[in-house]
Amino acid sequence: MRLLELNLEDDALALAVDETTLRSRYAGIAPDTLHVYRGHGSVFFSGELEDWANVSALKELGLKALRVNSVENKAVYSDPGTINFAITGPEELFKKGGPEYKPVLSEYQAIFEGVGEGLKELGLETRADPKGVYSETGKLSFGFPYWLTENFLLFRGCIFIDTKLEIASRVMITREKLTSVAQETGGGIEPETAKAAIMRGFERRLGVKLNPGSLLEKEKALMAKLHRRKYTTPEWNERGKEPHFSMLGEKLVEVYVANPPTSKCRELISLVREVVSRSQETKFLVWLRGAGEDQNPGEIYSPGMTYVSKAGMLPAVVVNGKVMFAREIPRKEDLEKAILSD
Amino acid sequence: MLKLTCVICGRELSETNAQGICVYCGKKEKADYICPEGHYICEECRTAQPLDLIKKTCENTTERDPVKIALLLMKHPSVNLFGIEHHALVACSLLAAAGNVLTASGKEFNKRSAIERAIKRLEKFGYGSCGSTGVCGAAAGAGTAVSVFTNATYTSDAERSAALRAVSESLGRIASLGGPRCCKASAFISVLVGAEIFRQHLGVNLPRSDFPKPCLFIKRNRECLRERCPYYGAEKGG
Repeated sequence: MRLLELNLEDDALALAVDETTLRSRYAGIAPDTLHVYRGHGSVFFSGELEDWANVSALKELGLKALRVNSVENKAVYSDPGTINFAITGPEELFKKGGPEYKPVLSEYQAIFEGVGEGLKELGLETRADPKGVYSETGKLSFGFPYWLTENFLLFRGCIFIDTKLEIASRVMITREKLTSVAQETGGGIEPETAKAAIMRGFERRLGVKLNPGSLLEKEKALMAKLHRRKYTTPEWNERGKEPHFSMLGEKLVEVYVANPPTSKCRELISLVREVVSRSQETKFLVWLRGAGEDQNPGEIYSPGMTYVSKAGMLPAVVVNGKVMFAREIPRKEDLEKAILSD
Repeated sequence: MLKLTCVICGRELSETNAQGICVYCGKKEKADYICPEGHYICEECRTAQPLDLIKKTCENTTERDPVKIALLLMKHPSVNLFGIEHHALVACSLLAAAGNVLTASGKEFNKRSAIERAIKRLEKFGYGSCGSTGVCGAAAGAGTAVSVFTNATYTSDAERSAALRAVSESLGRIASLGGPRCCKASAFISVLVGAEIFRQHLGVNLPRSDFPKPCLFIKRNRECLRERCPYYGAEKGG
């Protein structure tokens, strides 16, 4: 498993790296990856911010609220005393061990048990469940799980090592009592020491060997795009609206057609193919009705594709996740406008 | 070039100018793609919505085995892995098969009207009704087929009981499988239970057959019940 320790000075950039590792792994150009980093004073959240964080306290303290993709809603404070991690890979990676396999929950449990293994090395006995890691007195690790097509996981987590608990308790809306490794052990454990122990904990629990690595050139470009177009935008952070493009960041043109394609579908495919051939950095996908997402390995349905396939609107053209034309063949100039303009 | 495979048998499709007969609606026309087994789907059926497809296919077919009709419908690209179309699919497969058996023995049966009534009644069952109301729409499909066939109402005696039995026996077997839901398994069970009711209580001699094992849809279903489902077993492909 690739280990990334990039020491980025920007939490939004770190989140862009996390998503990059999931996308590049799914596209088949990168290995399973663990990205480990310390926080810089932000709140990571999923869902409605005001449900999970004290918004006025965030403003008073000048903390950024950064949205993450997650199937569980929460907000977690992260500062330089917090070790954050993002682990990406297929579900099989996380199915190792455990007494009884429970879909989804066992994967989360295995990851948190890895955290617990690391904390044990630091002299702290903890208990892990699919929701987090707990000491006798409180909770000190939290997760944001996110699945791509149900079998690829990006699991982001935060571990309170020497996190400022007075700030965490002020900004996080939670019924759970918060604690940290420093509070439990009386201090004296450097976050960097804790980080190394936790990485060894993951190695033991997941049965992997961590190999220090770096981002590929393609991944760097994707990271920059995700940072610029998603993680630093109010559209995403405030409204949860994310941009769509291909798995590796190219402009995405999808055509949804009958299976097998009708004469109208074939005409549309060749028209779109001709226009796409004049477009730079554009990925062109044909999705046959009812043939599933496996037909284009390394890609998944965009939201627009999901919509037209559920509604049975075909043939259809979807550009960067947005339905542009459905049921009829568009005029060539309209298609050019939709595909060739930025 | 797109690699195209036949949705009916999985073999590679090739371009043709020959005449084809649509496996769904029976239309005979100049084909564009056909498989080595001769399977062809007309353009209208390729783009059909699930309920239109079910209606057209069931009105057209002369098949007497509801299992074969249901399987043909399930293979169509418009029929999702999970979805409300399974409710009407169960009812119409049973009604089409029953109608064909009657017609073959010289008895009268208005198949078109029966299919239309069944589809209309089942529109009330939304997605996930199994979990939200405790009544799986596929099981309700079996009951609807019996009710439509017998013209049962809430004041009927044996007819009403037969419809209720079709639903309750289907539900009991679906419940025994556990979850999460599998619309294919629920539809298999409901078609088989419904067919048994037609044979035992309504005097319609539907053929006795079963859905293929292992199930044809295992690969598409990441939430497959696996060993808990009788169709996960490995008798032979169908």
